[in-house]
Amino acid sequence: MKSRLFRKFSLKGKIMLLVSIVTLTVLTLMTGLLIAYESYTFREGVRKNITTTAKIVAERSKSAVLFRDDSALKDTVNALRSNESILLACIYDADVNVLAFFNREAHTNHCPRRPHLTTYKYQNGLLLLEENISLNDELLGAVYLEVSLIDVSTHIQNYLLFTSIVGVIVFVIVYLLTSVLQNQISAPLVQLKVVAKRIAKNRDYSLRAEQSSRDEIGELVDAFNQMLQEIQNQNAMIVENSETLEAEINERTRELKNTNAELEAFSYSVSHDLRAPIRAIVGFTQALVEDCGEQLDDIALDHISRVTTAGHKMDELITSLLHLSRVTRKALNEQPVDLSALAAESLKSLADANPDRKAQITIQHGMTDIGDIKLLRVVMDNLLGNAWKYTQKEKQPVIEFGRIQETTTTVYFVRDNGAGFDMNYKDRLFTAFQRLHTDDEFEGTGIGLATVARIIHRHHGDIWATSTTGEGSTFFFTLHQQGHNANQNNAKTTSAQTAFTPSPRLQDGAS
Amino acid sequence: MPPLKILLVEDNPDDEALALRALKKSEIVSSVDVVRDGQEALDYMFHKGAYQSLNQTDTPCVVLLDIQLPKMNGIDVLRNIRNNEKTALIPVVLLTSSDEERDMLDGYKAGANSYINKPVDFNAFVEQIKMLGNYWLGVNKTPHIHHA
Ligand SMILES: Nc1ncnc2c1ncn2[C@@H]1O[C@H](COP(=O)(O)OP(=O)(O)OP(=O)(O)O)[C@@H](O)[C@H]1O
Ligand SMILES: [Mg+2]
Repeated sequence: MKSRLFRKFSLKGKIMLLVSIVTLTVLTLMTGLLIAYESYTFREGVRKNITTTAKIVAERSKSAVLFRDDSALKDTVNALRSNESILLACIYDADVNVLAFFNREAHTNHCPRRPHLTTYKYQNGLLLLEENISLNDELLGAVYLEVSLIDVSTHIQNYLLFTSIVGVIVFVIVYLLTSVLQNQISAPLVQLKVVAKRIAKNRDYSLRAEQSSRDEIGELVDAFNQMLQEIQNQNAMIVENSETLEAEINERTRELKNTNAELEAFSYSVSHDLRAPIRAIVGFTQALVEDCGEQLDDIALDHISRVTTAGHKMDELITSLLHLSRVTRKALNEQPVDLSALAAESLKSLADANPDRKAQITIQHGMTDIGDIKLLRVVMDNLLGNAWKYTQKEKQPVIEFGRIQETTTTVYFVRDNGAGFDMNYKDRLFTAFQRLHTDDEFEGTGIGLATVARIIHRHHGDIWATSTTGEGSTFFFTLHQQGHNANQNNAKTTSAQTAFTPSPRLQDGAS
Repeated sequence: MPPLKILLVEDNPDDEALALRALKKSEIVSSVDVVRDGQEALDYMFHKGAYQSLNQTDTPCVVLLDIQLPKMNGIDVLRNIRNNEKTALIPVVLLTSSDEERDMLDGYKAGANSYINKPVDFNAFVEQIKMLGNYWLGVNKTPHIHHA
């Protein structure tokens, strides 16, 4: 409690309080000791005085006691009246009879029957003192005195007053001196505080506290200034770093923009310039057949048909390549997309294009997610297009599109019971121009899945596949899910497969 | 009836030959003038330079304009045609070998009436030309005759 109160004081207050308490304690102790000493010595002085007086009286009374000269004794006793402090004086003979005495009016005590004092005694503010009257070792009588000690207490009172006044003066001087001198200690600290506050407010780390003393506070100020210097240096470094970083980012962005622009120009010119010769090749071979067909034999016609087919294939390749590069370049336009609807549309157009084919199709209803609808349409077209294509040799093709809700992710899957692929080469699936089937088995350019993978990655998702040759394949993908590696994918695949059966499904019927 | 005049702006002689063949195959009765670059196309349209001797009746009833041209590209030629009162209403059909969306958008913005993607398959090309011929030459012919 006390210390909590103490804590509230300012530094100056604390110093003042400390000095005051110390000074007061010292002064009180000093005064007390001085008074004790003074009262002792003063009283002893009084006693010695009175003892001397008593001795003189005893000396003078010798003959008078011996010869019972009462009037002389009376005179001797009365002579003591002149000493104001003596209140009672008695002279006894050897048989303790009072021979003479004097008693001051106000004093009510009388000569005691027998003083029985060895020498002296302080009692009730009085000094009681006895002096024997003797001659050649023969006891003749005694002198007994009662002395007031009022002088002592008056003296002590005066003394107390004096020392108190001195004490107050000393205290005031000490207080004034301290309040001037404490500045030496507190001023640098206060200055430090002011600087620190200003820095906190303005965040101006170039300010410095003034170094005014060589003591611990001086060291504190030094340390504080060093800290400021350090902060300033670090700030400068951070600013510099962020500036270089920003410059670097700008540089990179510019480079990227250039590269993008170059890429765009490149694919633009590819799409224009690479096509023209193909057009000429295909166009003129056809013209050749049309205009001079009769002059050509079957071998020539076969050659020509191969040229035409190759030309068409080349055109297809260019188209898919351009598509792939466009997928990377275009900005994403993300919005809620009904994947189920996209899948249904793409399967419908596949069915329309191949009216003679039948397949059992299952699409889980209401699968919506956030994404770029144009790009996700490309994904669905390719995955379902593959499922459609690689089940073309099945008697009862089954194609399924659904999703599995995992704790943190939604995993979509496209499953078919088609030709399947060799899992040893699963890493090649998503690379452009990599095919796991020959053109004789299934036609294709090998760019579809590369395009799909790019789109999925642009959506921060993942794509992977499992398959058993001859039994079918399942392609899995996620959207908005970064940081999957192959191992996680494998783990996911197993859980995906076990979760197949219970997931609710809608029978879309065969188309 | 005089044959309808068509202006073909095409720098590639192969494409020119194919286009002429397609026009012939589509049985559009027409005479086709061919120019090889953008500047020449504008001279032709505005009767300037080598084409000063042309007169009003020589205005083509449709322009087949390739986008990729040396010097001035097709889109700029189209803008010039649209900016001139005399030629602003002439139907212009853009020809391109790309399926770039950008070309199509730029073309329509500049005021193209139609757009043909020159396909590798020649038969498909003929089909497109036929459809165009029916539309631009068939339908647009009526008011033209009315005027004459
Ligand atoms: N559903 C599937 N079943 C079996 N194999 C598949 C399936 N989907 C893809 N593949 C294999 O992966 C390869 C790459 O597929 P991708 O879609 O990229 O090319 P593609 O289908 O051959 O040609 P296109 O570019 O025309 O799509 C295919 O050649 C095929 O071997
Ligand atoms: Mg494919």
